[in-house]
Amino acid sequence: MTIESEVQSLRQVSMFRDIDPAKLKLLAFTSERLSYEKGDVLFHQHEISDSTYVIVAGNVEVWLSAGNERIKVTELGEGAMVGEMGVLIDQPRSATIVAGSHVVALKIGREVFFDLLRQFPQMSLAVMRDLARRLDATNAKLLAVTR
Amino acid sequence: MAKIDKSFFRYVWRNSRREQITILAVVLASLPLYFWSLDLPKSIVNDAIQGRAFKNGTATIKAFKVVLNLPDFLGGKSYELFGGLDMERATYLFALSMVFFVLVLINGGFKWLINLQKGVMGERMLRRLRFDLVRQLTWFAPEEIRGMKPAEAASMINNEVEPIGVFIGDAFVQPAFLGTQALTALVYILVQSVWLGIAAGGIVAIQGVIIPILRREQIRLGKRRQIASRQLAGRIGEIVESSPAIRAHATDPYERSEIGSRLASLFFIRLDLYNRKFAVKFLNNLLAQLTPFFFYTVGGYLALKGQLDVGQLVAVIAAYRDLPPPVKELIDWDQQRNDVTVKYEQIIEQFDVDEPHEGEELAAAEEVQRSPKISVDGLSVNDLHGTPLVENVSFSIDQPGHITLAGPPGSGGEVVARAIAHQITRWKGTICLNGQNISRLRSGSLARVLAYAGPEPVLFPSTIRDNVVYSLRRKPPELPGPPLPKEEVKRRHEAERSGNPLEAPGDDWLDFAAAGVKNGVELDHLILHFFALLGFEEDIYRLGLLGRIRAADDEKLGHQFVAMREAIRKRLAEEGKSRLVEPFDPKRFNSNATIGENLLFGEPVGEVFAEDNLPSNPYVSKVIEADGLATRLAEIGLRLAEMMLEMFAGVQAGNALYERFSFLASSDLPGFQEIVNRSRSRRRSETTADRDKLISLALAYVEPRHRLGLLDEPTREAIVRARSRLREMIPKSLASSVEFYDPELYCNAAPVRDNLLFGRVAYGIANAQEQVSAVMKSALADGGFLNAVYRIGLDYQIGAHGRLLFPRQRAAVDLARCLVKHPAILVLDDALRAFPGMEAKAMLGRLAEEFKGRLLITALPGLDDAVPSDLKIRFDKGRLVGIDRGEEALAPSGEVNLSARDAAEEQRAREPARDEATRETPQDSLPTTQQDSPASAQEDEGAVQTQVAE
Repeated sequence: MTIESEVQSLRQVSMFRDIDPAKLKLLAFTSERLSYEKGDVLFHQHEISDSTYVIVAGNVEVWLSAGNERIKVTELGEGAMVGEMGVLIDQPRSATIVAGSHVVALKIGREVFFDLLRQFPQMSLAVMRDLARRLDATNAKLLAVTR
Repeated sequence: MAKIDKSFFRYVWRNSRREQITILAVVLASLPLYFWSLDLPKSIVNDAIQGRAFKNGTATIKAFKVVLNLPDFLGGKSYELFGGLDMERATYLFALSMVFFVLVLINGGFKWLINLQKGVMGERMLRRLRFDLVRQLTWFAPEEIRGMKPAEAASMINNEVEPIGVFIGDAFVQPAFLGTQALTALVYILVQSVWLGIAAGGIVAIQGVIIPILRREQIRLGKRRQIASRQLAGRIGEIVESSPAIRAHATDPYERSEIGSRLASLFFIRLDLYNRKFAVKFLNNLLAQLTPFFFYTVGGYLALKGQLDVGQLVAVIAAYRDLPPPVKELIDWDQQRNDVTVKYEQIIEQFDVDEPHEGEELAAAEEVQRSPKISVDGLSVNDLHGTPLVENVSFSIDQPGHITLAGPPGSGGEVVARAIAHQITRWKGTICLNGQNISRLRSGSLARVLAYAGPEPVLFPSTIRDNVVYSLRRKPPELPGPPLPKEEVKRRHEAERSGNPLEAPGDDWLDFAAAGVKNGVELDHLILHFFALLGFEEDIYRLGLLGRIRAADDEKLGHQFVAMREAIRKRLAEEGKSRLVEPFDPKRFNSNATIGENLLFGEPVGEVFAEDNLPSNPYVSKVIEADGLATRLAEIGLRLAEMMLEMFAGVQAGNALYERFSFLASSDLPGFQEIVNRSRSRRRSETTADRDKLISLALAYVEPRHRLGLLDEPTREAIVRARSRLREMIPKSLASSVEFYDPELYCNAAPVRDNLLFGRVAYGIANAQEQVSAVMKSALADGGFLNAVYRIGLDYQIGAHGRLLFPRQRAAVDLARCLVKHPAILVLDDALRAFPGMEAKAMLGRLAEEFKGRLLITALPGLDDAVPSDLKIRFDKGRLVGIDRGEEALAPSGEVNLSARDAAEEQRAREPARDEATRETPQDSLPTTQQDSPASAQEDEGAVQTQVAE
């Protein structure tokens, strides 16, 4: 697995689709490529948000816990980004992420993430677009629920 | 011992009387021979050359006849003591010349002896003076010493006293020696010819009067220069201390200009000095040359007229040759005297402190150890400008327990804590320890029963262990009796002669009994026990893994650690974690190590084989040239450089991304761009320097980490081949610069962790480091080696002010230092502030538990209600507002008041500035107290880097 193939996977991520390949290479190079076995935890809810993850292969489960209850909210697959919200607003992790299969993820440190956003406006735009899309989806869901 | 005398000459005389007198005696003894050596030329010229002794036509005379003529009142008889030798004229000339030569040798010998003695005596006195100054430094009250600038004090004791020491040897001897010598010469000239004597004396007198007047200005300038350079030393110290602030505010141009102007004033003072000095020198030389002019004209005239014979004239001129140097040196001496006494008085003024009263021993020491009682009566403390910090505080406790000095930060509790610990010494009222006033105690006896930990741990640049056991270094070792080795006898003799202590520093000072242990190993275990209490154990373990075995003291441990390699590997396999570690194998490429590590396959000792130096090392480049490996590596470096240039294009120079990820610093980019361009256009024409740079890049490459796909199998094989060549052919001269990895041997140069693992943790597997660490720890625990690792951790060097530790760790070291001496009373003055709230609370609980049956006094902002206490003294705005005893005090809310902790932080930040503002500062200065707090931001970063590097 080399940077080149990681760049290919990153291009699958919706928010990175429009970004110059050289910049994606930089993103891949400055991040850590980690593999997880099924059941390994990427991060726990309430932990400090020190990095974001891009899932390069496999899928992860998103778990929320309140009191003693734990519920699986959703599963995310290849190309998903997790943990970026907490990093952006400097809040603890809002959920626990567990590997649902063998997972390969790129771990982008908090500082690197910000550096990249600052350096490359396209990247900031991509993150904004992604967040806006998610907000839009949430609004739609909310509407569906309240109707 | 008395304090240093204010008068320089009194100080010198009092402390070196015997030596001065001895040297003076030698000087006096040398004079008759000196006089004779002046007289001899006359005999040579008159008697031998001109043949006056042979006037009567005799061919031989009785030479060197010694006759003792008794004065008339003793009978006036003559006794011939030595009949003399028969000599011809030529023989007589040679004999006289030989005598002259011997006299020259003897006089030289006297000079040598006198100079040597002077030098030795001066150095001895210098040693005494420095020692006395340092001793007086320790006499200052804590309030006073805060006003002193460390760099200036160091500059005074170290540099400024140096010329004083040189002068001490001359202080009495020089005037005596030169004075008598000049006087002898002058008397001799006078005896030969009154006129010439008067002329010579007159010119000497002119020299002696005019030149000192001219030099007065020089002295004034010298003094100005001394003060200016001391201030420069102080400023440089400040720059070092405030470097984080300078960087943060980019004020370096300002600082530079400030230093520039100081250097300019030093320069101009010296310029003025030179102007004076060389003018005086010119005058001096002129006068010295003027005298021979008189001698040749007047003396020659007298000789022509027959009033002076030629022999006399030659002798007078020879004697005069000896006259100006002593006079000049005497004038120099006088100037130095002025200079040095001024300097001396200036320095002594800075160290003007009275010897503290001897103080009483703690009468009830044993009772205090068993059951300490404290009573505070009418305690009032003012700050330096008279504002009350606490007023009229009284309370007492007559049994062991926990006293909380509670209240919002700055309300006075911490001041009371400091007063009890004698960190403040100026107060009104009394503080009694088991009925004895602590102000009257010898400081040593309070320290024996009381330990104090404040907000700013004071740490020394040494190991963790040394810092902890510092509190036990208080038992002067017994001096071994004879027979002593020669060196030791000499050492003690010299120490005695210069008023220094006879005991040598070292571990003999440790008071094992106070810690309740018998030896160093037990002491280590005790320290680890306290570190466990303070939650510092895990850190010590990690530092131990990063540490190195001290080769000399533990060969066996090395073997045992080698044996652990197998155990750890087995355990990893059992837990299915083998893939987490790629072991070192001399015959295989380790893909999780850098290319450089793979090539060297050993731990560099010193700089020769450090990774940066490998490509340019002639031996290494010869080895990698052999089968084209160098070309391959340069190729990898080139592609790496190309990729970096491509990827980092558009990233601004100086961006942190470079520092963290790029193989190149942003400042190297243009250079590498050129190398890449050169290589691309004409591949073959790279220079060696280019090539070395490219290989250097390649050496840091790790495939699974950087994932650039630059390593192919043939290259890996070539590297492994080069590795064995490198090891086999290494020349003797380089063999000590590297310790090669060997599966069977312990590598002393490498950290313990690398030795245990003997491999690299694989990149790209989540939490691999943590998992490997856990396996390693359990294997070590089972093997019984955890303590060995902990003890190596205690050897960790913590850097200046403990900068290589986190604040939390620094606080733990300071607390352990307090605990290890088993004090009956522990005073905590905001000593837990480096710990987060909940951790601080837990720790306070553990400390209170540890101090059951002893006395714990705490002034910990935010933790007033965290744990139960037996007595809670509540303060507000410097006044005692309530005392909760027993049940009332025992009902804590368990709360940690975070805002109080923050407020305490702010309060403390303000404090030094306030003190500083009110201090009478003779020199302009920036605050230097609390000097390590501004640096701590940077320090901590350093700590992180070092400790996380594993």
